[in-house]
Amino acid sequence: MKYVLIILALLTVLTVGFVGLRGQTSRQPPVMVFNDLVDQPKYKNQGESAFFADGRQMRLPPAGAVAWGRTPDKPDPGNLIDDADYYGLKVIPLPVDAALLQRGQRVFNTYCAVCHGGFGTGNGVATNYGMSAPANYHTDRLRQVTDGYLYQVITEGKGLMGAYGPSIKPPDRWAAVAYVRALQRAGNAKIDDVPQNLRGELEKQP
Amino acid sequence: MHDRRLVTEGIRVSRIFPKNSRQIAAALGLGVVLFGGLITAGVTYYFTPKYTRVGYTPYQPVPYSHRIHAGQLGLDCTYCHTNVFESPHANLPSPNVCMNCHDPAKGNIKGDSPLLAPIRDAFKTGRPVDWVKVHKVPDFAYFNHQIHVNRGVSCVSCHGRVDQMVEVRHEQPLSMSWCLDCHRNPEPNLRPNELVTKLDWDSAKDWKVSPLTQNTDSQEAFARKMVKVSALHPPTNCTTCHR
Ligand code: HEC
Ligand code: HEC
Ligand code: HEC
Ligand code: HEC
Ligand code: HEC
Ligand code: HEC
Repeated sequence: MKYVLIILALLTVLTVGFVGLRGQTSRQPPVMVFNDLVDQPKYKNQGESAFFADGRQMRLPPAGAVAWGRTPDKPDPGNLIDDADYYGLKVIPLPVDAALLQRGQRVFNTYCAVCHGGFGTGNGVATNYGMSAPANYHTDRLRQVTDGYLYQVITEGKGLMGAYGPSIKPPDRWAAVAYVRALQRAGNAKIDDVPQNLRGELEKQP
Repeated sequence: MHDRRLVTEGIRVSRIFPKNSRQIAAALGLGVVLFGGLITAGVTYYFTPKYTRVGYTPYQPVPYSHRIHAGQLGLDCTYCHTNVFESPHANLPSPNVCMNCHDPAKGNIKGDSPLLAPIRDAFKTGRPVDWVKVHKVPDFAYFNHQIHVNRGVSCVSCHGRVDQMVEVRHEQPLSMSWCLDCHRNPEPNLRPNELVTKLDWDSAKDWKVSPLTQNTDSQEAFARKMVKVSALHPPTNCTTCHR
């Protein structure tokens, strides 16, 4: 009896000793016994291919392909074939309303604020780690550039700034442009710009 | 005479079964029960995804740290996982996203770090970086990010505090019962859409403080409204996930 208990206790200790407890950090992938359906031999999102020279399963579109949601024959705003068609525009081709500005705020805080700062003064967190001088939006030159130019900067990048075209979809880029405009306006505002009923405490400040 | 025979037979029987046979049988029975119990306990403990998957932390080709980028720098998850709100698959970023900050030509952050060499190579040659997949639902089951994150289920419910991880670690079992536990009772996991990528947000503490949620009474009331008014009913029939 005693021996049985001792052997069982030993076995338990040995098992736990060898294979550990739940939730322990492991570098080995989970063991699979019947793998056939679990890992089917098909192409998946962002998978690795042994067939194509560049190793990607997801292929780039062939030259001249028109992206989904863009039409070659209907060049209305939001439906242009090529980003470059937008660069010449003077104003945002979408209706600028509260919804667009709210979307713009979210896009800006996600993609731009790390470098340009929440208010666009060019002092985002990344500058503390050696990011070289992102632009301050509150300069006369940047107030005067067209909306299409801001769109171009986002799409292609400029100078030290990388391209954000691959990350942000065109309508969201316009939303960001609208929000940059709102920031510039706010940075240059007078007390008269604020509606009478919303002024509140503001007037007391010098 | 009669009695003696009985006694001799009794002796013969006891030769086959030793005197302490009862104790032995009891010990054996107990042993089998104990052993069987331990085996069962071991199998339920070790042969389930809670043991086989949770804790999986593969080495990555680049020691990319979510704690620096998502935690310290405060980058939103969609800065890199751009499609998570629009697609079933949450994409990993292509090297040009990293190069926005780490490109030596732009004279930026740690442009010459040897740790970033695979990223610079990938950027130059167009060959993708060989990131190792951490979370994986078997191919016979269907999972969709878009539908979850747009309905107010935060990344933290399924991936843990990624913003505090130096290396991504598998935190949840991702088993079928785990999916169903939430599909049967999603309410505790719901929050407003804007807060889905705020992993440090805690509905118990922050609900009354955050300007986004102050106007609603409590997380429970908000969740009940989601279920009633926006008809949020995560399906539990088999064809939802096995299609
Ligand atoms: C990785 C850091 C970084 C991010 C993120 C970033 N920028 Fe920039 N941006 C820069 C730097 C650096 C410059 C200065 C470029 C130069 O002058 O060479 C700049 C310049 C600009 C300029 C001025 C261009 C000019 O003509 O001088 C605009 C406008 C701008 N950024 C808009 C944006 C918007 C909108 C976003 C978000 C979609 C964004 N940036 C995101 C780093 C960044
Ligand atoms: C600066 C870019 C960046 C940001 C921001 C970012 N990630 Fe990631 N994420 C990556 C990269 C690169 C990987 C692949 C390497 C790895 O697994 O460590 C990854 C991997 C992951 C994985 C594991 C994927 C797998 O293979 O299963 C999860 C989960 C994840 N990220 C969640 C998040 C969440 C949640 C956030 C927001 C708090 C976030 N990420 C923010 C770049 C980023
Ligand atoms: C918003 C800018 C930004 C982006 C985008 C970014 N990083 Fe970083 N990265 C940083 C900062 C800031 C540091 C910290 C530098 C320090 O500690 O001084 C850093 C540090 C690192 C380090 C450590 C380098 C070292 O030598 O210590 C690695 C590796 C790294 N990042 C990988 C990546 C990868 C991979 C991506 C793309 C998925 C990426 N980063 C995207 C800003 C960024
Ligand atoms: C309902 C649970 C759930 C939520 C919420 C969730 N994920 Fe996932 N995530 C998963 C599962 C399950 C997988 C494995 C998917 C697969 O293998 O196809 C995964 C995989 C990933 C991957 C690896 C790439 C892929 O799609 O296979 C990344 C990156 C990721 N998640 C990021 C995120 C981010 C960022 C968020 C928040 C915006 C998030 N996830 C929210 C469950 C979730
Ligand atoms: C933390 C909660 C949670 C977890 C965990 C979770 N889900 Fe869901 N799931 C939801 C919610 C909420 C919805 C949205 C229901 C709605 O919109 O009515 C949903 C919807 C879905 C749908 C879409 C159903 C449809 O309407 O077509 C699928 C597919 C799905 N989940 C699969 C999974 C799988 C597979 C897993 C496990 C890997 C999982 N879910 C884990 C909460 C969860
Ligand atoms: C919410 C999504 C969801 C629903 C609904 C669902 N399953 Fe699953 N099922 C999964 C996932 C995810 C797995 C993979 C689990 C794993 O790998 O640990 C799975 C695995 C399985 C397996 C294989 C188990 C194994 O380990 O090989 C079977 C069989 C199965 N499901 C049957 C069913 C049946 C029958 C139903 C309907 C009563 C059902 N499932 C409903 C998500 C779901």
